[in-house]
Amino acid sequence: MRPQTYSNVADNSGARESMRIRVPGASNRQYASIGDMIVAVVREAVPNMPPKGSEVVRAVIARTRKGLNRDNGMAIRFDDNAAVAIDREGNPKGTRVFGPVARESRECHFAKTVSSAPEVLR
Amino acid sequence: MASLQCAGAGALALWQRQHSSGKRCSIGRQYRRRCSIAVSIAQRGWCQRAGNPRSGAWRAMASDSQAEDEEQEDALLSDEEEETEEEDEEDNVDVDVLSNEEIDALMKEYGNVVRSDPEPRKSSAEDANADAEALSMATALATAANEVKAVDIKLFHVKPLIYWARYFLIASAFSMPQVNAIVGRIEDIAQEQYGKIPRPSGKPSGWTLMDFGDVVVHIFLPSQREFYNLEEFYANAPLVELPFVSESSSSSTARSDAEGESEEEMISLS
Repeated sequence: MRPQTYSNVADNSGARESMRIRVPGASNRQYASIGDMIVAVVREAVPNMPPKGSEVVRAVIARTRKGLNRDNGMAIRFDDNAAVAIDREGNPKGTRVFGPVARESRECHFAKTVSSAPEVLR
Repeated sequence: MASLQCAGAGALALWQRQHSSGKRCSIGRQYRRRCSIAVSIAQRGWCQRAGNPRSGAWRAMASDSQAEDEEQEDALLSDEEEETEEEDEEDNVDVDVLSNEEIDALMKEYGNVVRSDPEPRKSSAEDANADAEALSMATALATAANEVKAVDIKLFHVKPLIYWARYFLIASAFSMPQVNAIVGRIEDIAQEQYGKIPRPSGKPSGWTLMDFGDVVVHIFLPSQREFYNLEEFYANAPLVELPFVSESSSSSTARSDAEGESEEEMISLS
């Protein structure tokens, strides 16, 4: 996922769509993949919910169209780009995640996202 | 798992790269026959329905393909038909599923494991042992949390619901120092008795998660436990009985209120 990429927000935090700004902790890192934390701005939100449009949030990437390759030769690609909004401590802002999540999120220290997800892809 | 799935709104195309050896793939022998057909179809980015590669739906999809793809698929199908010719004699129709023994025989004759699954499925005996070990570890961690006065300790057997963990231990603590104390105690017990270290998952916070692989420990502050409501999300998971009686948060707050009142009485009398 590159800068300016729009992604769906796959949880019930109130945001619907976000746009990736940066990857925190790296000076000019261009690409972020599944399991990476990003800084994004909310572009579309559910009315009367906490995240407003143009609010800057942190998020974990849950799905990408580019997908990822695993060591066993398996490649997974999704139909959309999706992220899960989190706070500075890494706790999800919403209570539930929508859609499947790759197990790489657990390995990238975001097991809370995986715990709230309906399906985790092996 | 090398399965072909169509998952609703978040539909995904899961496909496998074919090994240079051709039809054979190392990821689950029961999917071996589906792999080679699936690759040519998946390369067109279609969403695959889990099912029989020889079913009508698959054939319909194949018929829409370009000529060279059709030839490739037919070649693959005919190769596999040759392999299963003897088994098909009785049925007079396409054999949709080979039995495990037949697949084993074919693998023995033609098979070549190029790369094995880094997370192989365990046999039932190994699985039972792992289950028992996870249960004893979860119970020990629950006892450790109880000793540090965590409240509302619940142990869920989540293996029927999810594949990535066997037990969830959920407990509540009233303050961050108590959360840190529970985390420290649980880490010590896990290291000393089971030799396991939790996967790093951030600093302790309102929702502290300790991932021991088969056992995942969630420590909440009471407000966060209500907010995330994991017990409702995993409500279908059976509760495991613990060897102690866990205090509930309401009774502990009532007890602390009563203790506060008795202290005030003591002070007023003196």
